[in-house]
Amino acid sequence: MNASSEPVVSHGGIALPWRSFLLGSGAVAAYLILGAAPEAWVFDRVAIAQGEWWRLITGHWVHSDLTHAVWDITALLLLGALFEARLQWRLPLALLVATVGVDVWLWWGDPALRYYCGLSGILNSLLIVGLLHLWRDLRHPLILLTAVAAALKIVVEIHVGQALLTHTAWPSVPTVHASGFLCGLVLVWGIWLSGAQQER
Amino acid sequence: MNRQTGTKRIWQGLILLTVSLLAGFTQAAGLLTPGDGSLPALEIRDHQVDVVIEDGYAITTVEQVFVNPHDRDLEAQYSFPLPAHGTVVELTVWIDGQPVTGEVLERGQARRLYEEEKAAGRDAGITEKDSHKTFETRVSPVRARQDTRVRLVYLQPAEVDTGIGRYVYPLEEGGVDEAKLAFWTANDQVTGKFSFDLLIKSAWPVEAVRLPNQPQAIIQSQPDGEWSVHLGNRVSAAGDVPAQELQDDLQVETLSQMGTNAPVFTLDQDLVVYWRHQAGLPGSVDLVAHKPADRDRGTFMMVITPGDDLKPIQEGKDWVFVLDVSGSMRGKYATLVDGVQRALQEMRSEDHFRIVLFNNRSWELTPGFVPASPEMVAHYSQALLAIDPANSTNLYAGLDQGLKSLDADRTSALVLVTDGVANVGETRQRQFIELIKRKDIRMFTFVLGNSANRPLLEALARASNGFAVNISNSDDIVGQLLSATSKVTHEALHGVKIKIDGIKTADLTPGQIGSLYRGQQLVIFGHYWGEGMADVRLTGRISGEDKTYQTRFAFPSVATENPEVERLWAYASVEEALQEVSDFGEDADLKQAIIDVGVEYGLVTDYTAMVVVRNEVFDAHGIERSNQTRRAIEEVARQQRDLRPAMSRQVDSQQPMYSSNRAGHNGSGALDAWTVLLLLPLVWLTWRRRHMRESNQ
Repeated sequence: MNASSEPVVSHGGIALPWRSFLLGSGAVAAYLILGAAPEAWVFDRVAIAQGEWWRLITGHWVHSDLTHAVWDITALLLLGALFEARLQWRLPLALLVATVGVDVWLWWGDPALRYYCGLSGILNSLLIVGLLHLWRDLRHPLILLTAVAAALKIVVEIHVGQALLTHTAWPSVPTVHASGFLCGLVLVWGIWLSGAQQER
Repeated sequence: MNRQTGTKRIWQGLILLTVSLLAGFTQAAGLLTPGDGSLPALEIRDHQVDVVIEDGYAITTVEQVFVNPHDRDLEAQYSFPLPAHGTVVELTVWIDGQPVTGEVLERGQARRLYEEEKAAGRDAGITEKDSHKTFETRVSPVRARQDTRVRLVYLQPAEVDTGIGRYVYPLEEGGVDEAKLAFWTANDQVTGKFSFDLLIKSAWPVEAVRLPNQPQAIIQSQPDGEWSVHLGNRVSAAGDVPAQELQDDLQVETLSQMGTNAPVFTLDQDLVVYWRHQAGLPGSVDLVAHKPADRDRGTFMMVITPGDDLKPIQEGKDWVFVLDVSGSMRGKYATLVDGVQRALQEMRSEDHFRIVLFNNRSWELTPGFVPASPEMVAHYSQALLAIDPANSTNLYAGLDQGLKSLDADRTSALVLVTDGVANVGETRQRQFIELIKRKDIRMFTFVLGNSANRPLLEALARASNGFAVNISNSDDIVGQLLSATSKVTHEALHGVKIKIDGIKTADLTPGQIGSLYRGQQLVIFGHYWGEGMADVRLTGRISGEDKTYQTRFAFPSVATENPEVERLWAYASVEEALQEVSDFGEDADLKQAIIDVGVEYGLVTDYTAMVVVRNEVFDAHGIERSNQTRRAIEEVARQQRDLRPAMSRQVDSQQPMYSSNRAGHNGSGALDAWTVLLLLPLVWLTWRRRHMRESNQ
C-alpha cells in the first residue's frame, strides 16, 4: 500500500469514521443509560469466574465517571477519524485482538485487580496499528515521533502509577495501557509478516 | 512474571488450598438433641433474621419459633457459631404471649437460676458462650404440642477491608469439638418460614452488594443510597414475600398451615454478604459517639480508613508452609495436596520454601529451605501425597518446627493453614506468643470455618505483625485472595500508635494496635470527657521510616443516636481482657472485671450469661432490669435512625488525615488530554496530505 492507494471515504473532504462513530455512540449510550460503572457490565473477576463471561467484552465499553467516558470516547472518535478508512477490516480485528490481549493481561498479569472498566487499553492497540498504516502511507517522521511519545507516556504513567492529567473515579491502571500497546505491536508484527509473505 | 506477581500467584494457590479444605464441613447451627435418642427432637418452625449495618456496626436480630410435636414438655437447646467479635445483647422469650427480655448475671448465678426455674416447670431461657466456638441458648419448657418464640440480638463491628465490606451470618460449625459432636445431633431444618433481611445504610456510597453463594437473593438499591437484601423460602404469586409480611404472617399462621408452600431451609451454610464502596473515596476518620446530655463521660468508636500510600514490595521471600494434617483434615487431604502443588508451581526458582506438617507431632517434609525449581516442586508434591492425616492437633509443635532455620538475611513469611484448635502438647496462648516473638517473621494465618480457635490464631498473627484471614465455606474465596494478596505484596504501617490531645480520653481499645496492612481499617473504642476540639495523631513506621498522620476535630457534647457504641466498647475491652486471661492465665481480679463489665453492659461473655425468667421471678430475686432498659433505649434510637437516611460520620473533612484515596480493587483504562494532544499533529498531517492531493487533482 502506498499513498496513492489511500481509500477515500470522504464527504466534503472529511472522512466519516462510521464504525468508530457507531462504537462511540454505543459507549455514550451505555454511559447515559446504565450510568457510571454499571455493576452487571464491568470487568469483575469474581463474576467472570462464576461464568459471567460477557464482562470480558462489556467491561471495555463502560466507564467509571463522566471524565473517564469523555476522554476515552473522544480518543476513540479521533482514532477513528485518523485510521478507520485506512484500516478497513483491520479495525475490528485490532479491537478483537486488543480485547483478548488486555483481558489476558487483566486476568493473569494483574490478579490483584478485581474490577476494571474503560476503553483505553484497546485504544492503545488501535493507535499502534493505525500508526503503522499511516506510516506506510505517509512515511512522515511525525508518525514515528507520535509512536515514541505514546510509548514514553506509558513508561511515565507506569513510573508515577497513574494517568498524567486525568483523575477518574476508578484509578487508572497504566499497565493496561502497556498491555494494549504491546497487543498493537504484536498485531503490527502479524500484519507485517502476512504482508511480507504476500510480497513473496 | 516479576517477583511481585509471583508472590501473588503463591497466595492464589494458598487460598485455593484453603477453599479445598473447607469442603469437608458438615455441622450446622440448630437444635441439639442427644445422639443416643434418649430425648425426642424438637423442630425449628420459623427462623427470621434481620440485620442492619449502619454507622460502622451490625445489629443482627434472630427470631425463631421452636415447636414441640411430642406429648411431653421438653427443653430446647439451640446452638450457633460465634459471630466474629460479636456478642449477644438480648435474649427474649415469649412467656404467656408477652416478650420477656433477659438480664445478664454472673454465669454460675445465671445457670442456677435457670435450672431452678426449669426444675419448677416455669418458663425460662438462658444464653451462654461456649469459649470461642458457639452461643448456646436453652429454653424450657417448650410445652407439649405447643411452640415457643425466642429472639436473640447480637452486635458486632462492621468489617470493611480494601473498600469491601463483609458480613457473615454464621451457621456452619467447624466440626472441631469432638466431644460435643459425639454426644449431640443437630436439627438444622427450618420447616416453616425462613427469611434473611439485611439493610446497609452507609453515607460512604456503596456501588454494589453481593451474596456469593445465594443467587436467589433479592438485592435492591434504594434512591437514598441504602441497599437491602432479602432471602427467603416463601414465594408468592408476586414473588418473594417481604419481611414485614412474613412478620405479620407469623402472628396468625398455625402449625398445620405450614409447609404447604415453604420448602425446608437448612441452616448449614453461612450467609455471606459483601458490599463494595465506590472507588476513589478519600482516606478518612469517622467518629460515632454516645453521650447523653446528663453525663460527663461519653463513649466513642473511631474508624480510621487509611489512604493508600503503602508501596508494593519488590524483594522476594522465603516461604514456610505450616500445614495441619490432623485427623479433622482427613477426607480433605487430596485437595490439600492439590492446593500446595498449585502454590508451589507459582513460585519462581529464586524463591525458597519449606513444608512443615503437624498433627500430634510435627515434622519437616523438606530438608530445610529448598529452591522452588520444577524438580523440587514435583518431588515434594509427590511426598505430600504419601502423608496419611491422623491424630490430634499439636499446633505448637508445628509452629516451633516452622520457625527453625530461618535465614536472617532474607525476608521470611510463615503461612499457617488450620481448621482446628490446639488440643495436644503446649496449648497455653502465652507460650505460643513467646514462640512467635522469638523470630522476626510475619505470620499469615488462614482460619478455616467458625470453630477454629480464632482468638489464639488472631493473637499469634498480631504478635508477629501479620494478619489473620477468616474464611467461611460461603466466602467469595477469590475476593479473600485479592485482599490477602494486596496485603503481603505491599508495605505495612508497623508500630501503630494513636494519640488524642485536647480532650480527656481513656480506656482506649485496642491498647496495642500493632500493624496496619493495605486496605485495613483501624477501629478504636474509648471514653471521653467533656467536649471540644481534639488533635488526633496516628504514628507508625513504613519500611523503617517514621510516618505521622494527623487531624483535628470535635468530640460532641451530646450524642444519643448510637447507644450501642457503649456495648461495642465494652465487648472490645472484654475481648482484650480475655486475651490477657489466655496469655497469663485466669486472674481473680481480671475475671471479676469481665463479669462487672458484662453485667453492667448486658454482654454474654465467658463469665456471664443472659437469663430469662418470668417477670415476677426477676422481681423476687431482686434482679435489676438494666438490660431491658438498655434495650429499650437502643430500640428507640434504632427507630429514629430508621426514619432518616444514612448520616456521614466523617470528622476529618476540614482537615483530612490522609491526602490519598483509600486502597481499592478497582482500576480503569483512562486516556487523558496528553493522548488527544498526541493525536492532533497526526490530524494536521492527514488533513494536509488530503488537501495536497485534492489540490493536485
